[in-house]
Amino acid sequence: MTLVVEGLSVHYGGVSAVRNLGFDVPGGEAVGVIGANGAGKTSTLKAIMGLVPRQVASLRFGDIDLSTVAARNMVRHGIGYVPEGRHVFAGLPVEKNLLLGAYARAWNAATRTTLAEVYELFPVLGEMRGRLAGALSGGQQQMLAIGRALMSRPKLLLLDEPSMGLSPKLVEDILAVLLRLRGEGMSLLLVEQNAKLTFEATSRCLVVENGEVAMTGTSAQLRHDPRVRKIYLGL
Amino acid sequence: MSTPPAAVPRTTGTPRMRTRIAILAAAAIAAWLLPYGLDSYAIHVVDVILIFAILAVGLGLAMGIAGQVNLAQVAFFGVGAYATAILTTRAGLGFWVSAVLAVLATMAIGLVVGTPALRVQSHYLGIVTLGLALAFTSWVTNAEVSGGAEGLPGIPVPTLPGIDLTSEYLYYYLELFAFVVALGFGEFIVRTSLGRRMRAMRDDALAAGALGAEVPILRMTAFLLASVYGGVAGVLYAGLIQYVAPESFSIATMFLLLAMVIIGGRQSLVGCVVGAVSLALVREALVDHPTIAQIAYGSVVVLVVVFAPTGLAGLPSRIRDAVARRRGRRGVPARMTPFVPYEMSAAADPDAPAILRVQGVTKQFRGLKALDDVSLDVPAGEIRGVVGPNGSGKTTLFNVISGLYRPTSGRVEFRGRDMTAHAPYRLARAGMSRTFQNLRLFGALTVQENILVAIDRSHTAESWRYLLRPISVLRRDRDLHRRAREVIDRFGLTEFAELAPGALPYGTQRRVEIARAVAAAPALLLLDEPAAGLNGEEVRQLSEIVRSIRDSGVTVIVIEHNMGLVMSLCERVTVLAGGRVIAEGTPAQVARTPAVIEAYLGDSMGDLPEVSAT
Repeated sequence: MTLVVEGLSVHYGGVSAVRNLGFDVPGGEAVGVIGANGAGKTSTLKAIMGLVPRQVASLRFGDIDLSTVAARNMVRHGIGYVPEGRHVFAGLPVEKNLLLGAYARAWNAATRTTLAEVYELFPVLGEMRGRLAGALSGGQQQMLAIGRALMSRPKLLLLDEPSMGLSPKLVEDILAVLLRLRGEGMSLLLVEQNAKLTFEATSRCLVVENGEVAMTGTSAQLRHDPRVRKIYLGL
Repeated sequence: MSTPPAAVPRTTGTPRMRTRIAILAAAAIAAWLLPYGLDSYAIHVVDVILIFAILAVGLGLAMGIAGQVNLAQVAFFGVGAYATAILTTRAGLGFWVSAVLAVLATMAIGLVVGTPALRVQSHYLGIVTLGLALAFTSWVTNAEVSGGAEGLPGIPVPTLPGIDLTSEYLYYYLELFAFVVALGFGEFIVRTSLGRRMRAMRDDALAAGALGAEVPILRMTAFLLASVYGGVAGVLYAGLIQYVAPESFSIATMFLLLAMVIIGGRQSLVGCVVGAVSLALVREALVDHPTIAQIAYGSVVVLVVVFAPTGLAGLPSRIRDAVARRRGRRGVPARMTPFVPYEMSAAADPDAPAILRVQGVTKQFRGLKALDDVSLDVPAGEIRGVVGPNGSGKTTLFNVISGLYRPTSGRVEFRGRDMTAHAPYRLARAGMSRTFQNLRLFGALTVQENILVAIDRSHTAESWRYLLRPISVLRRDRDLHRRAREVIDRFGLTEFAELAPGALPYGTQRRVEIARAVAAAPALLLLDEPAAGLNGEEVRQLSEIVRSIRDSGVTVIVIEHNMGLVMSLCERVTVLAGGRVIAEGTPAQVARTPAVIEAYLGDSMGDLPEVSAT
């Protein structure tokens, strides 16, 4: 299942945040999006999810036309979303948060297996399953947000800055999780400021500037591009 | 009258200013000429509407501006009216003497009703104030002095030399005068220091406190203001109707008042007036159909809440936004410009005494020990890094230092004084300023107003100036605006000054928060993960900014996960793990400590990008 985005534009008031953006995420591939603050990365993800008003020439996932699908139904077409800033349900325990991630699924043996898998992927969530999500540290909340998205067994996972506010060690843990998900055949669309993480987790990358695609290439190529190194890796 | 009061009065916007003056002049002429076209019943209705408008403005100040759910406004109204009635009919005082005493009595009641706000907020506060309002109604219905259920008749008409106020036409002008003064004074507050602080407290009381806003005093001020407006409306009501009875001040009236404020748009005083006028007119239109009246009010409220959540006053700007979206103009997004470094101040003295001493601080949350006997000394002029795994207690340490948490044991000394568990606003006023990991900007204020709240170091207790020395308030506010401009320009945020922070990209919001913390002119700045969500180039800029802030004479403590930044920026690093200090030293020393590598760094330092020291 390939995600195809063509001619995507977003504007807030009279200001355009994303202009005529196009790219695709082939099934089983991981694509990264990097860019400065305000370049339009988060807006792009939100627009794909239908969370902000958008104009789009074509938005398809496999044979499904997503341009008319409401945000709440995206998950039913196999698209998981990890929002920027985690947005866990702070007043609910960890396990309830995860179960809400499976809201669109039937509560059966398969879902219970997914829950066990998420606990296996993030053992710390299993230890904290009874604790309120709001009482978790930032890094644990980030894992919870990813785990919650995985509970719907998505075919494509959209991640918005999963490394924000994580310790170097946890960033590596997240990288390991992303690589493992990719190995299991899940497609990823990863928006990040941490370019190092992005290059290691993805096979192809877009560099977004001023709401437009400024560069594309394989992660290996971009990693050695002098401009990318200066601006995004700080080298 | 469509401009939201949130807009900052700007001396430069002459065309906008001109339309505003034209609208005001037209409204003044219309208000002046209004009685000439009305019959005696209609003028009575208008007189009552004006009283409700004053009440609604008072409620708007407490609820919409200061965020204090006040369901006792009708009791303030009642106290004002009853006090006038009792003092004139029973004590035989003149109307104006009684009026002054009545407003003073209402203010006293206002302070009593406001006391619970020191402990509870939002709907809990609503329940408490509603209870107090009910207590008032039940008291006047049963007390002898208030005439019981029959009420008190025979209140004398106020006298003014040369004007016969028994005529409701002339009474209209008295009310109009009171109304214009009340609205003008309200707008004056909203647009200057006191109102800005109240709005900041409404958006985020915690962040407002951390910037030095005296939250308890502000809450009491909100109730005091609401009670003055209630008292004035009560006095005018007693003079107009010349009779008071319990049912005029019932809970039904309270909800009518609440509906007025919600419909009009509670964050705008003009909106409150619009709501009062429109709902009063709806009530008048339905006076002959009592059966459907309640349903009609209810429907109006529901429709407004659903289709215009910002109220009628918010409609023009919503329509403008919708049109702009429809047209889809390709406007240019605002951009950050480079930071302008501070002038170097005197070089830091290497033997400077510690500006901050944390001694044996332990913080326990129920079963969890978030901090366990943590001690650290930070000399003045240093940039100190605090690193550690997620959940190791770094933010908890900041919260203890800045007074948000009271430590279970241990002490915090700031500038040589024991400041353990002092209220955040006291610490802020003593020279401590901080940012928050999850960003706590005041969402309904512009970027400029966010900075203004921080720059403003005046005491809320000095608010008597609003009454006695309004010009000095205005002059000071102009000075604050000038200084805020300087901070905004320095941090490269000029193009964002008039925007709401919520819509800005994450990294820009971080920069705004740092600018806001620095605007408070601190001696010690606490930065909680300032580089989260920034890319390589932006981290480099941040590093320059922080270094320049330090060079201007500010001590900085920074929690950060970006080891490149920590290594290049910090002079010393303290490592926390599991609530304990596991290492302290120069960045290079710390990065080689095996315990730190194991607990925190992993093998990530292998190909660590070097941030060039600039």
